[in-house]
Amino acid sequence: MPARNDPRNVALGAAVVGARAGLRAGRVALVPVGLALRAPVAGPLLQRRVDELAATGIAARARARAAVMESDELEQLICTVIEHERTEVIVQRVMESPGLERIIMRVLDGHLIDGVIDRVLHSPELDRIVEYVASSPQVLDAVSHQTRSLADEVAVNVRKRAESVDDAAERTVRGWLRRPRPHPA
Amino acid sequence: MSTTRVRYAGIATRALALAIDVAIAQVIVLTGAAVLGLVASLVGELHLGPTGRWLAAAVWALLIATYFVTFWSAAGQTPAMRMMGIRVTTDSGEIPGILRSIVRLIGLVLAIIPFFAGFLPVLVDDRRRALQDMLAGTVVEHADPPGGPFVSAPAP
Repeated sequence: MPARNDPRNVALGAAVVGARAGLRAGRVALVPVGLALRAPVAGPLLQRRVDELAATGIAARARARAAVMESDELEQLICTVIEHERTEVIVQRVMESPGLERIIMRVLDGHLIDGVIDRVLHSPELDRIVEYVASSPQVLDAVSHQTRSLADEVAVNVRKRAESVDDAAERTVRGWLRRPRPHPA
Repeated sequence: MSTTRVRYAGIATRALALAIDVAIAQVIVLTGAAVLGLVASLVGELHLGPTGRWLAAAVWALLIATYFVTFWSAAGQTPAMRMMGIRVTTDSGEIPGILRSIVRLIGLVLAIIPFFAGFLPVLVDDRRRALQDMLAGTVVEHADPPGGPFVSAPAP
């Protein structure tokens, strides 16, 4: 015996069928309007009225889009989606999927990357970036610090070796003369 | 009596510092001479007679002497001594003055003339003094904090 259908699915199906029927009825109803638009006298008047209605519709859609985009609910919705743990799971699954790897490999193998790289390399923006990085105080400080560190390291090593030689030479000569070094304090 | 731990610089450290200082001073002198030679070549050919050669040698010696005396009397360290972490001070721990630095330079020349034999006292002197230090009343000590072999000395 088949399982009973979910009433919500039944209601949704009914709504979809109703909407389709409404669309068909609307199209049928608009047929006389189309004929009237082509009429020699009433056509231009109707066309003007239709244009006004279309402009009103476009303005209404723009207002609706702006209202949605500026609404706090949209922001909350986006934040909720991003912060939801399921989003993380989905992203993780996508990242681990072999399909994504295949897509990336196809993109890399294609000519698109070569073209993009060529355009980037020959763009004046890259020159600006390089110039900015080369003259950046942070970068210069880092390079200077590295250079200083190397010089300091070399100097410390030279000092240590020289001090070892100092002690060895003094110990040897004092040994010959049987004259011991003064003891450390 | 309070004592302070002073680490006197040994012969290798001092010899290395002296060699580096001489190299630096020579580079400075030769660079200046090269610039002068270039300028002179633009004006005309440069020929040094016997007097000119003596004069050039005197200028060379004066510049080398100025290098050492200036750094010793101004900072107690030459650039190479700073690199090696040593400094020259008087017996009382002060930076030597110009006169004392000149005496020390003369002592240095005297120490170098007999094939650097004037440096040998460093190996046996308790304060590792060379001939120029004995003449000028100076010592050469490590400028960095104590950490190696120590020689005890009374506080100045």
